[in-house]
Amino acid sequence: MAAEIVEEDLGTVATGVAGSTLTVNNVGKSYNIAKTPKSPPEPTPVLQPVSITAPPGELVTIVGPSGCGKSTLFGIVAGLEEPTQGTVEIDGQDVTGTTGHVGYMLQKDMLLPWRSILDNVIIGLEVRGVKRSDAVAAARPLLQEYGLGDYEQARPAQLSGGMRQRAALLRTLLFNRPIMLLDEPFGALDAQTRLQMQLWLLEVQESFQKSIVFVTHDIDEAVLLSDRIYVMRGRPGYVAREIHVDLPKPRDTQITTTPEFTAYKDEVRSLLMDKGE
Amino acid sequence: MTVTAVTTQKPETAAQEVGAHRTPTQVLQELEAKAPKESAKSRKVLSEDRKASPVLVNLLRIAVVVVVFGGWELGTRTGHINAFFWSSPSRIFAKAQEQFAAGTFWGDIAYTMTSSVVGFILGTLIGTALGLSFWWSKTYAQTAEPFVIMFEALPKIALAPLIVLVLGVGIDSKIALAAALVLAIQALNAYSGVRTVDRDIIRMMNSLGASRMKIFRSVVIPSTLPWIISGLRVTIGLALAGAIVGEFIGSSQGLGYRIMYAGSVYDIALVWLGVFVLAILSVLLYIVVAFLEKRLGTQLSGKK
Ligand SMILES: Nc1ncnc2c1ncn2[C@@H]1O[C@H](COP(=O)(O)OP(=O)(O)OP(=O)(O)O)[C@@H](O)[C@H]1O
Ligand SMILES: [Mg+2]
Repeated sequence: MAAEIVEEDLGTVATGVAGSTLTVNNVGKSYNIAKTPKSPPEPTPVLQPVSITAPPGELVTIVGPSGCGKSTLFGIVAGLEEPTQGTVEIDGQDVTGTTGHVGYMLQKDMLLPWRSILDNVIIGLEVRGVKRSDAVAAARPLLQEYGLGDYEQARPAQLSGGMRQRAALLRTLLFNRPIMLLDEPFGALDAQTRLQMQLWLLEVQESFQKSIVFVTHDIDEAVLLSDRIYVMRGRPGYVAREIHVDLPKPRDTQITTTPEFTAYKDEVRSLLMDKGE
Repeated sequence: MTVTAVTTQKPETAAQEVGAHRTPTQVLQELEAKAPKESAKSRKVLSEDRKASPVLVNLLRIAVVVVVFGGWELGTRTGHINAFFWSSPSRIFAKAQEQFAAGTFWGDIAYTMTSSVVGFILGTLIGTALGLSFWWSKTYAQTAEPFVIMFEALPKIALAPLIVLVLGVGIDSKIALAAALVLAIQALNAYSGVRTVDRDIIRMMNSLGASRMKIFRSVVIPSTLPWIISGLRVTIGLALAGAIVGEFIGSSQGLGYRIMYAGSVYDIALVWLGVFVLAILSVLLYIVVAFLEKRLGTQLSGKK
């Protein structure tokens, strides 16, 4: 279904449906922040050096308290900001500080209010220079599949919060990079929609074999979705532990009641709750 | 009294801060103890969208017109109002029949309409382009800002004699004046719009690897358009004013010229006729612009 999405040669970096490794090497960030309104701004670390790996087809979750620098890290990986130190690599290629290599879904849906849903979800392809007819042909079946088929001509303001997030996710998916960064994509959803979306993401991941990096505050969500979890702590944040989740895939909701699932949850929770170093 | 209250309160709060840590529950309880006791009156909220009866409103409007014009006519007939200076509705009506039959009046209307509409369009386009251009460079924008504000604040009508001198008594000077009035406002409107473009949307576009031009076309222009559009209703009136002032200063055609001329030969009925026709024209232009605004507005926000 998505095979018809047009491939484009970006030169050095591999593009396409699947098969890239994201490596974040010791990436740290400081901002110049004035402590008080009068004092001069001084470099303040907001992210201690972190290293993260997302192999092809893995879903990697980052959990951590608010303000520990997760969105900052995503901004750096997406090339929107330069790290103070460290590098970002895709398949061994240094892509630090350059954009267009990853699909990035920001914390808010960021749909353009003056565009229809259809035109919103194909904007990434538009930027890549894909012909509109090809982009539409790729978007239509996906919109249909994910319950937005009747709304392709609607404006974002006419959609519910859950539908908007689905559209934003679809936009990220249609940009069709092997690596996707999702910053709390389901944060604003009700429990039922959220579960639907989680299962959907598992399905997407299963069928497209993308490397997905996912930020969440929800421990259940982290364990249900992930192949590995990075637990962050502190302000500035650092990676406290990397946990490999060896639960069978494909997963569904039944798994949430198993003792293994609970054990992973407890491990993550105790790391997050433990205030001491 | 307030002074003493403040001075007595100070040590008290200080003592509390020094004292034991208070839980949120305690904080709220203490607040409640200090808050004034509410009297047990609950209000009935008047609905915000209650409607006035349209029949009544229209009847009242007609009544206002009848009273004003009837009073005017009556006043001149009974001699309470000096008909030489104020003319009268019946004379103005007779003047209208005469002028419209003669045909020159139509030419004046066309002349004034042309210069205001052309000036309006030019001013909107140039002003918008100027305001949008500020998006491209912060240095450029900040350098230009005080000058644009100065030009906005300047009563541009004061430039009218100069503009007529430079561009001549033809239609060019009228268009230029109308455009100048519109331009300054729309440039600032567009610049305000540019400054409020959602930075996260730009982040999203950047993450897709979009070029500056692509972001400009796909994000900056559409999100600035509502600012431009909301300025149109104000600027259409200004364009008309600019054209009229240009005709006052020097012209051989147009409603402004006609009014000026009529005034100089004490043809007060013709002055009034010109003013009424101008009022009708400005209402017509306003309606057209309001209609366009509504159309474009629904397109942009997507709300039906
Ligand atoms: N542009 C900036 N300038 C200065 N400080 C910043 C900037 N962006 C982020 N910060 C600071 O960096 C820290 C980390 O912010 P970040 O948004 O990455 O947190 P987060 O982990 O994503 O939190 P949340 O879970 O609430 O989204 C915060 O303390 C924030 O104030
Ligand atoms: Mg965040």
